[in-house]
Amino acid sequence: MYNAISISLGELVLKGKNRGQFEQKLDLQIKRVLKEKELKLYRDRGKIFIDTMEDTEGIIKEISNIFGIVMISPCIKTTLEREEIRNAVIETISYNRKEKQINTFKIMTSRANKKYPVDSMEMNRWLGGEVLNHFPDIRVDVHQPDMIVYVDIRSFCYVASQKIKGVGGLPMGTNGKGLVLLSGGIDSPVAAYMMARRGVRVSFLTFHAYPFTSEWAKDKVRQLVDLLTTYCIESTLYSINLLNIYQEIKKKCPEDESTIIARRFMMKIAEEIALEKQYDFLITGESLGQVASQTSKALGVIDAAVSIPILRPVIGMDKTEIIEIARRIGTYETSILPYEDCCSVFSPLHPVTQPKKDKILESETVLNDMTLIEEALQTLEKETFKL
Amino acid sequence: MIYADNAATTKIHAKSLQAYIEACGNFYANPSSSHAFGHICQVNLENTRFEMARFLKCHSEEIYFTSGGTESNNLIISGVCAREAEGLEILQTNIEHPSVMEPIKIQTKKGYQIIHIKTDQYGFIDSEDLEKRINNRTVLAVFTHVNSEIGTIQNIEMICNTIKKKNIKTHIHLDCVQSFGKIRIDLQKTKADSISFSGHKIHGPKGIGGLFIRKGSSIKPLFYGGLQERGLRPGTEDLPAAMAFAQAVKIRNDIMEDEYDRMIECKELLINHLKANLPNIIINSCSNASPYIINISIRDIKGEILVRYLESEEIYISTGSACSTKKHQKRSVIERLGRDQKDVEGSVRISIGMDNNRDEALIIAEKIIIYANAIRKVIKGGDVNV
Repeated sequence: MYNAISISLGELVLKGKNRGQFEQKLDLQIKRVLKEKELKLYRDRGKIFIDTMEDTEGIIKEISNIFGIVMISPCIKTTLEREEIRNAVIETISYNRKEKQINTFKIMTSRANKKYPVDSMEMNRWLGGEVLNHFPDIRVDVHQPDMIVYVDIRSFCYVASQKIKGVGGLPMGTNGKGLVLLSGGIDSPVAAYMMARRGVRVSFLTFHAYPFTSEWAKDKVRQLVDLLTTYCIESTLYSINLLNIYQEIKKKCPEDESTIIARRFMMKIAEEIALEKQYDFLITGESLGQVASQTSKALGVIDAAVSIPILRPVIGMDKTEIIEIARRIGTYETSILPYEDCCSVFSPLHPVTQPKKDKILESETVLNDMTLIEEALQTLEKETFKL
Repeated sequence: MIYADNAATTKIHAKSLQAYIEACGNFYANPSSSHAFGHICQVNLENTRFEMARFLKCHSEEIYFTSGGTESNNLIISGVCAREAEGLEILQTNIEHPSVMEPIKIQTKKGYQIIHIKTDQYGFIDSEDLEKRINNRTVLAVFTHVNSEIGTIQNIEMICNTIKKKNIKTHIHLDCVQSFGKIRIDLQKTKADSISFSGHKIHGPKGIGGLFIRKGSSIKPLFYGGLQERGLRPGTEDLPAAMAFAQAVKIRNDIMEDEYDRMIECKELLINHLKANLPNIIINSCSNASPYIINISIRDIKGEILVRYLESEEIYISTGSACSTKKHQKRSVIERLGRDQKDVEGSVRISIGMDNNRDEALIIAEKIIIYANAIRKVIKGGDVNV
């Protein structure tokens, strides 16, 4: 029945001068997602439309994960001839009556095309009357109707009854590039998702300590990136072996400070990669107070390791809230697989929770920062993920 | 490459592989088909069964093909305990393979009670406890001939005699997956009612295994369909796999005694070299355990890290236990035998087989020494060069 899909954009329409650029990015992403389908994508007064007679459900499912889209409707596209619009409304109601009991309805016309001679109220009244004539057993209820028929008048008219929620946010790539420190736990994939949703083009950096950590742990991270590619469309996964650094820290630094010093090294390495590959900021899944290295003091000491901004989108969230998002975006089940990214050999039993920057800096003086980071960077492996 | 994880699975023998390929090309008809080609396949299948029976010195009607050890164990456990039975008892130890313990656990839903027989530090069954626990409610007893993790060889003759003396009706099932084709099993002396075995543990193909079920045993099938395997295991038979399995068995029959002695030599060489050069190790396998399975604990290391260091040299052994962080993992046998948690974490299993030799045994020992020392250093915060 449907011959078009209408796509509404969220806050994108508020973006003033940048709007054109934002829309272009979104168009590109829709086209990429629908790469195997030769479909006509076009704009009609601020909204995006796709003409298609086939598999509307499948297409909607695929594009509903694209950031920047807030609402999607399968619809019947007609010319602006009144009879055609009427017929589309009748057909929409008939179709819905096959699926469920409909006793009441409401017509909601919106007229983006102000040249159209009939105003919205009048269209509602006229179409309502036509429906009542055609289906004598249903009536109008403007407060709690069983179904709403949306009549969207633009260069063409689009008649719809369903509004399917998209993920919202901003189109990928409209807010710079970020490098996510991905551990394989629950939080960092959520952090990646949240920033990607705000238009950040994200890539990933993971640390391992092979052979003290397993290939399975690396695979788990790969799986997570693969899952996140549903939203990120394209990304790179960098991985670095930290074994040497862990060993040096264990050998030379106070045990209770080893976690915090290791975290600082991760940031320094991430910063190096970010500078070289032109990422604008780092993103972590740190949540305040969750573990010893995530107390306010510890975060301060970690921040001091680098000058690149570190974004922490889940900083103020409870674990249960983070888990809820992880479940929704489909990363939770993979995140809870039991493969550790850091061997317990290098985790102190009682890590310091209130580290002092000066004290940590002093502990670090015995380590040869530059050489260690350089050596770690030599273990860099890179893998690209595409939708 | 040195492959020493033969208790997990083995490389298929060239002759077995050849038999498989030839059978796929030549004997692909369905043995149940009524035409002559089907009949030829049926004849081949029965010949294969006969070969298996000759090896086990039993009747060919007592041999059933299955998909492997897990299915064989499941089939017997569910098949003996088919009816609801409040208060009937099943005997086992707490160091059985998951393919025994899990299906037995499920039987409790039908009212069966599980009785665990005491074992000693190496997992040997306490014969006095066994005798005490058998009564007229004991319907099934399931024990493993050779333990897959530490290699302990149970005295199956004694076990069967003890049980049958007190309750002749008790069905005795032995999981012989790790012993079949390595240690001769005399089914005349060992009064087991059924034993299970598998193709891929003896250089045969994966996906095929079998059961010996003594005539007169009443077993219900796991699933229903055609009349293949006398209705006990319906589904079109995998004739190529069966023929390749029989070929592997034939090879075992020819070499197993000599190979066993050779394995003892390899095992002793490996253990002696380790003992002499690596302090603080514990040999978890007892001295008269199967020479194919060597389980050791190395203090102050984690077994899985050692396994990964060895894999970088293309030496493949297995962890004796999963790292304690993998909470969902089944507890290892040495853990269930009550060993110290540190020894559990530091354990590895080296399982040698027909393709390994003395030189390889020494290389394995040598590399274990090098990497265990390196790991110890790292864990203690020492120097790093590995």
